[in-house]
Amino acid sequence: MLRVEGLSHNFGGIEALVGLDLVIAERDVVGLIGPNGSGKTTLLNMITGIYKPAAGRIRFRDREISGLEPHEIVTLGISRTFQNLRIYNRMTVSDNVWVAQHSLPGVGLGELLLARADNERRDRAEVERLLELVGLIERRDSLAQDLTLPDQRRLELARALVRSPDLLLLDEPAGGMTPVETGTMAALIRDVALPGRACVIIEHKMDMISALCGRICVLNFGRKIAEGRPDDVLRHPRVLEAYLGMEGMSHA
Amino acid sequence: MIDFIQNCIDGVMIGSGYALLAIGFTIVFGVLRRLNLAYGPSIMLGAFVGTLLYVQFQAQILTVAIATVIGAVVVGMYVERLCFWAIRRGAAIASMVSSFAIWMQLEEVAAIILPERTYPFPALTEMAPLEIGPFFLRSEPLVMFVVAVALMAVVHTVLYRTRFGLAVRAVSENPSAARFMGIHIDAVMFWAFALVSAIGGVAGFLILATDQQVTPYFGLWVTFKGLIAMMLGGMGSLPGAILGGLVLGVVETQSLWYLGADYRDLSAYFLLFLILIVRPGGIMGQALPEQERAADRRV
Amino acid sequence: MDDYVVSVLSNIGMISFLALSAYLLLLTGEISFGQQAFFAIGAYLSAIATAMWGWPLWSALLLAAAAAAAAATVIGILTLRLRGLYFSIATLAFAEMVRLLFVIFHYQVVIDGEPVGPDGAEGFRDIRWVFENNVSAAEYMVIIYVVLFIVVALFFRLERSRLGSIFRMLGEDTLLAEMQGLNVIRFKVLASGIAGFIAGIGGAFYAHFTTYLEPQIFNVMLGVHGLLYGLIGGLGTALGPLIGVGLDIGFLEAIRAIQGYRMIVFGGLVAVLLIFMPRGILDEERVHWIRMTWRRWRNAAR
Repeated sequence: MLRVEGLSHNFGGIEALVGLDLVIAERDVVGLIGPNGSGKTTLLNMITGIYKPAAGRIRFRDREISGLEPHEIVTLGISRTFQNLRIYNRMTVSDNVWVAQHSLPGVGLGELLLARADNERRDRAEVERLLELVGLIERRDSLAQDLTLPDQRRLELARALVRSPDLLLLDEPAGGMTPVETGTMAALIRDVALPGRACVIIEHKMDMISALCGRICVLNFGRKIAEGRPDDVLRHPRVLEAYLGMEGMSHA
Repeated sequence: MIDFIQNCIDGVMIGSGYALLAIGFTIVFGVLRRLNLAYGPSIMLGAFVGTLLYVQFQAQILTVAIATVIGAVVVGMYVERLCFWAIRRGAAIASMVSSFAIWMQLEEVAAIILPERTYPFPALTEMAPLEIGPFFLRSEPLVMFVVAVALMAVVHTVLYRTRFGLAVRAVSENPSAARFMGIHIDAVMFWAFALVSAIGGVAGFLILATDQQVTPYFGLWVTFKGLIAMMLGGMGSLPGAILGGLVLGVVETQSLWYLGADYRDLSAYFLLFLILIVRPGGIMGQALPEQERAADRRV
Repeated sequence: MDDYVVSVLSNIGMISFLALSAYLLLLTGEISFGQQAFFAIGAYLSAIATAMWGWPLWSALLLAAAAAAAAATVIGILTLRLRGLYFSIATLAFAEMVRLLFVIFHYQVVIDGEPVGPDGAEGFRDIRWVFENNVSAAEYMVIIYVVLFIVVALFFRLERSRLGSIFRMLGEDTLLAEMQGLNVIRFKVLASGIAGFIAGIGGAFYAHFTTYLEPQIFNVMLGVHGLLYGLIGGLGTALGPLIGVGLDIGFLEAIRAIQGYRMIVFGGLVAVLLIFMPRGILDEERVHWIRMTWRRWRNAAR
């Protein structure tokens, strides 16, 4: 479904990605790990069109997407969360999810101004359903900035699920969470996010990655240094070497 | 052709003053990442102190100059404390808005203190114009040019050869990193602001002494010239500020000569608008829209 | 109601259009120093239509606002792809260009033996539609407020609609909005066009109120005032900018003691207020709190 071929990108003199190849099939759950600065987030940024590749291609369902703008790529069925958590702080929880529905095809200018009552109801019901799913229904009227960090990450997850994406890209969904919170988040992702779609998860928490992912891909300095089943990869000598002495690896 | 070159000469001389103003905006922008819109009015108030001394006490030109600079610095301190220091680091818009509000305030203070339409300012020099071949170099702009260049050299020295300058540049590059290296950010910002106000005071003095008068429109005028020059050259770039100032001076002089007074300012704004649309990085900047957008996005 | 009060209230009404215009762009995260240019276009064009072409006020108003909207859309297309600060300065440059263009703009027709029309820096006199049609000052004020009321009501409608929340999304987090499939520039241009329309209406009213226009009126200070009103009143609701206008032109004007020092006080007030309320008096959080409190009170009353 997603095919990355020979992808390279650099920032000034720094090579962020070098000749990366990656294939993700429908319903694959792939973990993406590597020390800080190895290019994981850059890869997501390139898939979602924030950066245009210096070399290489990205194909989604046999369609070249490397030249597209972010707002075009998203409509193709790719959705993501962010490492630094991006939500609309000054909007309510339910509005955060509601606004994510805006870009669904078929929403013209007339629709935007004069929401028809039955469409409104349908949309709001969908918002409620998603909030229920991630366990935030009680906090639906709170301002997003007033939520705890784990709740904010759930909100981001709910928002990413609005379009029922076929490919979900999660960038450190458990970032900043305690071990207990991480476990809860992992369970949530497994139950709510994974079924019926492909997923790429960037994380530093190996237990979580191993539990959720069928396959792990390891990056270091922009290059793929290993790929395979979690057990194999996590014992791979080059992977251990990459992580030796780095804080990236934590068995949380 | 002679006219054209003469205009270039005149333009460069006047442009040196603009360049100083642009340098002031650039340093504040570099260190604070915000525009200080109260810059012009603070310089104007400094100039009003100068003119007051000149009119009331028949002060010497040097005294007027010093008074202008001190006045500009004092008002600059007021602006810095109120608009930039007091407002939390994250609220960038609030700072800029605050500086507009203070801009308005200072304009009104100026109008109240000195309600006449114009006040005299001492002449920079009494020398006759220099003649080099077919070209005239009027003495006041020439003196302004020489002093401006000297000041630019001083600023360059401060920024590149002193510890203070190093701190300023460090904070401009990366405030968080600078803080971790033990640089006292607030102090750096305060003193950078003081430096900038002083530069502005000198620039204001030079320009006014060339015109020999100051009007209540001076504050706004300074803000515009400094901003245009800075943007022409490329926001955030010191060599750009200088280049922008000189280019602005030349463009103004040429359009004044060939198109008339009505078109002089219009050309300056038109040029600015054009540059922003076509090449926002300015003359010195790179035209890399993607890099700019990407850099914006700390994802 | 005495003339002075009517005059002040009319002023508040007209400037409110300018403030709302800047506010709309602020919602999308853009600071425009140039809304006074569209105010000017609205003023001049509507005045030309009534004083020189004999049009009635209503059609002149619509024409002027539409022209302002068109200009705003074009400028928006050119400038909105620029990063924040660059955009702001571009709007500044544009507005000054417009003002200076009016300085060299001469267009006059002879009516009843007298030349009528904009005459560059000399100004544009005798915009007399209001007098020729026997509209009293008080009636004119009512007209202004009726239209203002309609515009504010539309803003309220906008807030609840998808388009309104799209605008807010753009202001909150542009990247996120883009990642959610929104064509950011298209929507910002739309906001710019609407903002231009609103400013144009205000300008048209202004021209017929003062009966005299000159380019100097439409300077940067006017635009900055418009911006300040929204930023002070708060960006959480369309009432925010109105509060800002009321605070400056209404409240401060009313305090005779500070006659002639109004800008000093207002400027200082703004600066101090921004230290404690960086997003204005009625910012999004406060508005949210008000909404929640209102809802709780309403539910308790049942």
